[in-house]
Amino acid sequence: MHDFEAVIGLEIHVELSTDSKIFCSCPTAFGAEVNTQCCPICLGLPGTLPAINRKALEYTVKAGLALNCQIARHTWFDRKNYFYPDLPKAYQVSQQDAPLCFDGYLEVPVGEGAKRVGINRVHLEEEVGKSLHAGETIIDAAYSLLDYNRAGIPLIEIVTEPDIRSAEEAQVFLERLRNILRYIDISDCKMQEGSLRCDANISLRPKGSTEFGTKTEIKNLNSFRAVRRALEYEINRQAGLLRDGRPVEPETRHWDEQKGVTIAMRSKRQASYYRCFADPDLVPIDLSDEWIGQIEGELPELPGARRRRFIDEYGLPEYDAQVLTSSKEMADFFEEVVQGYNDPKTVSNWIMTEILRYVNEQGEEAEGIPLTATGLVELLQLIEGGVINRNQAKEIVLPEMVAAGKSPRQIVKEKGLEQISDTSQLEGIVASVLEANPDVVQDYLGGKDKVMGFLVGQVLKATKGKANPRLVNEMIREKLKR
Amino acid sequence: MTIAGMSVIEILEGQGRGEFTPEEALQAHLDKIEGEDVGAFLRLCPKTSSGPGLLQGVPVALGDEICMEGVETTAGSRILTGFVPPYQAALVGKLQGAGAALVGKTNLTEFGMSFDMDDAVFQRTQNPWRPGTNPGGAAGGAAAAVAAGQAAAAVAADTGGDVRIPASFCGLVGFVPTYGRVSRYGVIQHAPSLTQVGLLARQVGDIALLLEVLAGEDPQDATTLPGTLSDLLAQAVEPKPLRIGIAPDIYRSFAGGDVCQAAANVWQRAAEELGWELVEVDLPWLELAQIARRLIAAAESSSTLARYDGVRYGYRAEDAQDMRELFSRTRAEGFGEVVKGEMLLGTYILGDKAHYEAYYLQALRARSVVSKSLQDLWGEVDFVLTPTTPELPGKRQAPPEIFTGPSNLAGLPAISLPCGLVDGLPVGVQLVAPAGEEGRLLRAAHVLERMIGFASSRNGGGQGA
Repeated sequence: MHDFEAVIGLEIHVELSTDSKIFCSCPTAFGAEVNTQCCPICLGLPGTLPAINRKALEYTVKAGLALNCQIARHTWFDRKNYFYPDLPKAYQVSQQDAPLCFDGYLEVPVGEGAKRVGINRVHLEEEVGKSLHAGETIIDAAYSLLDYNRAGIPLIEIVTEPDIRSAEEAQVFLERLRNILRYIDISDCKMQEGSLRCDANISLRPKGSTEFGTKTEIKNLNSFRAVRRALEYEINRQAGLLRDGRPVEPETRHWDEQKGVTIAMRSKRQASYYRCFADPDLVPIDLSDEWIGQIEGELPELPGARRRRFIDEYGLPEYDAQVLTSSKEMADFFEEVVQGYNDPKTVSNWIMTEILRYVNEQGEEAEGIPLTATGLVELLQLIEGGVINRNQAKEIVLPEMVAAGKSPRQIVKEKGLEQISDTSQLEGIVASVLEANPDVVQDYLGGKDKVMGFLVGQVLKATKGKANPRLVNEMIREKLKR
Repeated sequence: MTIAGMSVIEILEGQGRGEFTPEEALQAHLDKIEGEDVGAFLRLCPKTSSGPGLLQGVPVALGDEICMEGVETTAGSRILTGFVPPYQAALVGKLQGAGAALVGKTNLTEFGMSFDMDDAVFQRTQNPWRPGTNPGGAAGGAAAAVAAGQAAAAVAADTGGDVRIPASFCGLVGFVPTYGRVSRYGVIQHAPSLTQVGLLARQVGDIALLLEVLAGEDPQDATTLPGTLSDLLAQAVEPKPLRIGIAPDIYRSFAGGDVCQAAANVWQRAAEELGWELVEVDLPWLELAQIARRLIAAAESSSTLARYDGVRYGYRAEDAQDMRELFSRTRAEGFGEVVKGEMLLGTYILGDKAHYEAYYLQALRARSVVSKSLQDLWGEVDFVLTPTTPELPGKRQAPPEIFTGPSNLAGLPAISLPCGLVDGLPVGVQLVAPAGEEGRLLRAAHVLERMIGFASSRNGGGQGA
């Protein structure tokens, strides 16, 4: 591989989270009973006409702005014609010649630095229905079942320039992209529900060459991990061919997650031509600077800007800022907690170590943070106030907060965890510990500070860990004043 | 005077005077359908007037390309056999809201893709003026129904002259408004960019009334124009004599001498009796417009009609072994030859980049040229007057849409008025107006109609011109 360079471009489809479909008022919710979210319009019944959902245009423009794109001032929809049963009109309303957004980029970290991956275009189109084949493909299936609930959900296609150079870069790009799309709240970007899908185009060329090699397109990539693994596999496969002096066939390949291989599906030698032309049922759209400006004004702070602000405003290290802003939920959570507990670094430590553990356990498609900001604020206050110690917080209270959704105070009460911070309750215990350990006391008085830990530990042991260690420490010092 | 054969306004007045009820009006027209079989209707769905309104109790026929909820709608194609829409065209709701009585669905050539009514798939429709004669198409059934007194008016799609051509052949008034004036929602089309909802009636006054009911913005049709229309005929007199654009030499190069003479009679009388000013204009692009219109219609239809694949509704080939066979056999068996030919043409001209540029893009350019040229004409003239059709029914020497197609290409309002008989069959003249000028057009047509004095009844034997 070291003598070749990979050239990768991605095509990402993202379902927009508008309430209704792109050309009718059907709902877009995932998981409804089959064929219950469709109407004469999204079924393309004879004589029906589309009417554009302005929200879908707005969301697409948002995506374009967040990806540093130019926004078209005059645009229109084209019909992309092909026959397939899940395509009710036998054409997909899409944008061929005038994408809403074009010429953008997304900055991704690479090694120590960062690079810009060009965004060729972001265009708006309609989603197709879903087919379920009783067989391998539609041609050899005994029958196929069709669900048109999905048909007509607004979909954006994001096409990158072939600027990505490794499987890892592709994965990082996708993570960044998903983060941004979630920040601007235009899609839930769930790969397992298909609301974010990715196809990858890849070719190899000798290092130093500027020409493009023959590319293959990989489909059926259902997770970021799959994108990375499939690209790694395909890079090795193509490198093997080229080293043996054999040609790479221009083809579409299917990623088999189980076997961990890409399989040839169909040749790309005969390019399909979709007979695109402007859809006469939809009028061309003129976007005003004012409208675009308004959307731009409403864009939330994007991850990059937020990362820099976290460093400046909260004095966080770069690493913390990076991790915390890697999802909008996490960054929002952090800021909310800091509002109630003004010690950003402590909050950051808690999130990055303890909370993230729970988030990561949920895997790539994390549903979010499994507790409330007020809950964490309360927990930190309980520690600070000496009601519980750090270990109790981590090992007993936090798991219960996540599992049962209870407030930390309630958990502390139910489990009887309150620290003993009342000196009168501790007096007797401290006295008896000192009495029982005269040698150690002598060591301390002789200047061995280290033994303090042992004495405090004995008091904790006697109180089953409930004594406030800081208080015990003070009491012993007071008693053994040198 | 019998009810069947009355104009819309006569029916409204008759009811107003208490001479007959809406039920009797509908029954009279149904009796006429029973009594004189001209093959106008594909199916009847008589619904009595739904209440008071501008068209209360007026029996109206609908082309079968117009969806009526719960009524089989085929657009004249076998491929839609058995298709019963669970929704209806916006215009149907408006007609019902105005109290019209919907009589039934009329015959048309398949998807309205031929102007020759003999191409109709399901049945032959006769010209009531002379049985055995072609009534013209595509809306031949709608025109035959009105001419035979089986409906007082009809509504049908016009993509190049579909309403005006049979109006001319059947001695009726045929009208298309500005593109987007009437919602196309629920109207089955083959070439949406060319389709204007057309109206057929006996008199200009009827057309005005129908248009007032049907015009208006519809959120379901993105191409509709804002605003509504009212009191179309009641407005001010023209301050200056109207200027009428004519191009006699060009007409003669496409149209028969008798048809040209009938049109010339109209404009000469208009100049003499009405004081209208005649302005000779140049329409050098008529043939170009005809080709461009056909190519655009073919391209759009290759896409618009692709949804008829047998998967969801309509005709479905039996025992297909796989998806490809289901698609190809359904379409091979379901579509007629004319439609297949036009779709092949459309597929070819969109079929790769070179064809797209050589044909489709060129057609779009021609469309701009025609629109621009007409736009420029409105500086010199108020309307353009042409024969409606180049020849009498049944002669197939010239493209029948040669004079009517340009207004569809440019989205302009146009009206065909009967202006006399040639060999005992009616011929029409067409007035084309600038976009948005339906009111002026209808008022001018109203004046011209009175001047011509054509009796729309076959039995009246009138030969006004």
